[in-house]
Amino acid sequence: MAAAGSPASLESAPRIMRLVAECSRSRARAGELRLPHGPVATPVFMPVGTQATMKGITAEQLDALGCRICLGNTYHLGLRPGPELIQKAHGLHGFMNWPHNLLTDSGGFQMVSLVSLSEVTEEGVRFRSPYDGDETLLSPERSVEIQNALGSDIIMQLDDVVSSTVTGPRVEEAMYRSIRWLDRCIAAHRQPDKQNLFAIIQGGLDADLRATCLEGRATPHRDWGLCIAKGPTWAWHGMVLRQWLLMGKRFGSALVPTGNLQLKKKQYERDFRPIDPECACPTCQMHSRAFLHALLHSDNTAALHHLTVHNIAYQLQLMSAVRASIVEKRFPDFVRNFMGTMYGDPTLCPAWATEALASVGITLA
Amino acid sequence: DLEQSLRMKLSLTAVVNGCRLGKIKNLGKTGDRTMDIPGCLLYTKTGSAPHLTHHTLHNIHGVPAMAQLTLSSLAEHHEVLAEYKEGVGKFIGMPESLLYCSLHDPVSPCPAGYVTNKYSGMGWFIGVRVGLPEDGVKSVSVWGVGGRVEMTVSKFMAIQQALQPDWFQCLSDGEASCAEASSIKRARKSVDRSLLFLDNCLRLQEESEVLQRSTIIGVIEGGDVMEERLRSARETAKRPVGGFLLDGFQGNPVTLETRLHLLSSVTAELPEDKPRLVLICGVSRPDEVLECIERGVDLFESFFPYQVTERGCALAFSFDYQPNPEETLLQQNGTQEEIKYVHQTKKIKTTHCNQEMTSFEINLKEKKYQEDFEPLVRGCSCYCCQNHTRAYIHHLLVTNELLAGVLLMMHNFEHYFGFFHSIREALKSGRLAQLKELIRRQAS
Repeated sequence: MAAAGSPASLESAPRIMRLVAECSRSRARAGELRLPHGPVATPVFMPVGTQATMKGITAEQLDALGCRICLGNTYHLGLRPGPELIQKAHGLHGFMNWPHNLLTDSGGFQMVSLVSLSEVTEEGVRFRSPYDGDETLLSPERSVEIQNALGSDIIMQLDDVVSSTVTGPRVEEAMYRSIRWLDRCIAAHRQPDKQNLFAIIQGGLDADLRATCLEGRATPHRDWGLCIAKGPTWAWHGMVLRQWLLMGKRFGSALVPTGNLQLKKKQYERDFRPIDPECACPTCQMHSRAFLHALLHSDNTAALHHLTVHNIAYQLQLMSAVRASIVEKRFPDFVRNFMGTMYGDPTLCPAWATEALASVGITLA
Repeated sequence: DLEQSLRMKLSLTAVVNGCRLGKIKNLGKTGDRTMDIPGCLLYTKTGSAPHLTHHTLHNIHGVPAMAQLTLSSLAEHHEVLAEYKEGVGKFIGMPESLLYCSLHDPVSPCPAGYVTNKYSGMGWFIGVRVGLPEDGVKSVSVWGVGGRVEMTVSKFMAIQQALQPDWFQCLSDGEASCAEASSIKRARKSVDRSLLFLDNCLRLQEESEVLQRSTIIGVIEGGDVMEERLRSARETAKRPVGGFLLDGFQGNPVTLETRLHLLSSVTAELPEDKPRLVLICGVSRPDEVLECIERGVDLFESFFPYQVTERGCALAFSFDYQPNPEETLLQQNGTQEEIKYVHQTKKIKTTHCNQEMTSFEINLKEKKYQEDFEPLVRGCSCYCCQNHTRAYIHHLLVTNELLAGVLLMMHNFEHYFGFFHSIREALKSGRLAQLKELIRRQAS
C-alpha cells in the first residue's frame, strides 16, 4: 500500500503484492495483487476502457470473461463527464457499475500525445481542452485529485512524459522531475488506504538512468518495480501490467496465436472455422469467420462486439498461460513456443524481441 | 403444400372486437415450437439483432420465438450460404430460433435513382424495383450493402433453399404502394405479378426437398385501390400459403390512418376456415400496432425499438393498464413531465432513419439527464435499468461510445416486448380498451 510520510511508516506499510513464483532464468514473476476490489493474479492483461466503458461490451460480459482489473483514462474522464459528477455517482466503479478493480493513469501521457498545444513546466502540464477550448493545468496535485474522485484501486503518478526515442539532457531532466512530481503526488493523495499510488520508472532507454530513477523512488515501490508496457513491447521486469492499445486500432482484427486475422478480407468469406479453434470465448463457440466477415461488411455494430469479446478473452487467456508457465517453472519454454508459433522460424523473430529475451537469458534458437 | 398448412396450427383463445388472441403451434423444423399472437418478430440486420451478441440478446426478457431476417441483407451472401449448406439459422448463430425471411428491410434508406415514389415524407422503405418489360416481369431487386441484387423467381427460390428459413415472404411486387394515389392499372399489375410470382414459387417449392419444411407467406398487394386489394386477398387465399403479409401499409402515421379502412376490408376478405395468419410489414409504432390488431393483424416487425435506439432515445411509455392507484399518480406525473419537454415536431436526424422522435420515448442526449441517477424507466426489469443510470447512458452518448447503442437496444427491445405481452394480457382479461386509451393518451 502506498503511503505518504516518513520512512518509518513506510516500513510498516502493508504490501499489496504477494509473490507466488519466479523464473530462475529470466526475471519473470507470478504473483497476486491484493486490491480493494479483490485479488488479481499477475502477470495480467488490463483491457483499456477509455471513457468508462470497455468499447461495446457490458460490465457483465467483461466479468464473465474473467477480467478483474481494467484501465480508465483520467484525461478523458477528467474532461467528460468530469470528476465532480463521477464522485456523485459513487466513483468510477459506481458510474460504470464495475465490481472489480480499476487502474487509472495520470492523464499525462494522453495529454502529451493527444493535445498538440501542451506545455510542460515544473508546475505541471498546461494544455487547452479540445472540447471547450479552456486552458487548464494538469499538475501532480490536480491529477491525484481527479483520481481520488474517480476512486480507482490503483492510481498513477503524474510523470514528465518523454518519448523513448528522445536522447540528451531532456531525458535526465524528465527523470528527476518525475521523482519530484512523485513526492508531490504522495503529498496530495487523500485516500492512501483505499487507493494505491504507483510510480513510473523513467529514463528512456538508458539503463543507468533507469537505475537512478528506481533508486530515487525511495518510497514503497522499492520493493517491486512496476512496468507498464504499452503496445507490443513485453518487459519481463517485475510485475507486468500490459496495456493493450491495439484494440480498435484496426477495424475487424482478431487475435490468433500466429498474429491476427483481418476478417474483412475476402479470404475469410467462406471460412467456416471459428477465429481460433482452441479459444473458449463466446464468439468462437458460436460463430464462424465467414459469418463475422459478412457481419463486418454490414452496418451492424454487433460485429465489433464479437471481436472485442474474443480479443479480450484471448489476451486474458494468454496471460493466464504465461502465469501458469512461470508457476510451473517452464517460462523460457513457453516463450520459445509462443515465438515459434507466431513467427515460425526463430530467425524470423524481430530483432527487438530476440535481443530483449536474450538480455534476460532466454534464447530462441 | 397441404401437409405444410396442416402441420402449422393456429389455435385461438379469444376473438375480442376483431382482435385475435392465440397461439401458433407446431412450428419449426421439429414441429414443436409455439408462438403467441398478437406478437412481434425480433428485428435483425444481416442476421444479428442490432448491436447485440448472443450474450446480450439473451439478457433480454421476452425475446420472441421468431426472428425476422431480411433478404436485402442476406441475398448477397447467397453463395456462401449455399456452400455452408446447413441453413442461415446456424450460420448466424441462432440455431434455436424460428426464422422468417422478409424481402426488404423496413428501415433501410432509399437507394438513389430507384425511387419511384413521389412522397417526400415516405422516407425509409423503398427497396423494390420490379424489372420491366411489359410482356412479363422477370425480376425483383433488393438492395444490400454490396449493392443491388436482382432476383428472378428461380434465383429467389435458390436463395431460399440456401437459407432454409421456417417462413419466407414470397417474391412480390410492392411498387404500387410507393406511388402517390397509385393508378388502378399499376395496382392491378402489382396484384397480377405477385400472384404469378406466388404460383411459380409454389411450383418450385414442390420440386425442392429442402424447402418442404419452409412455409411460404403470400403477399397481399393492390396499392390503395380497394377492388384490387380485395382481389389480391381472395386470390392469394386460394393458394396453399401458410399466412398472409399485408404489404404497402407502411409510411408515415398519416398514410396509415387513411389506409386503416382498407386494411379492415382486406382482413375481412380472408377466409375464416384456414390458418389465417396475418403479418404486416412497415408498421411498428405502439399506437399503430393496436390499430392494426383491432383490424385483424397478428404479427408485427419490431424495428421501432431499433429506430428509437439509433436516435439515442429510450422507450418510456407506460403499458400498465391496471396499475395500483398510488403508482398511477407517480407514473403519470413522471410521464407528463417527460412529455412536456417533447416537442411534437422534434426532428432528430440519424444516419439510419430520418424519423421524428415520438412521445413514446425520452431523449437521453438532453442535458437534463447528465446528473440523473435514476434508471431509464423506473421498475423496468431490463439489464440496462437494473445496472445503469440515465447519467451513464447520457455520458456514453455524448462521448460517442458504442456501449450506448448496446444498452439502449437492450432496454428498448425489452420494453417493446413487454408492451406486446401487455396486449395479450389485456385481451385475455378483456381490458384492451384501457390499454388502448393509455397508449392513446401518450401518443403525441
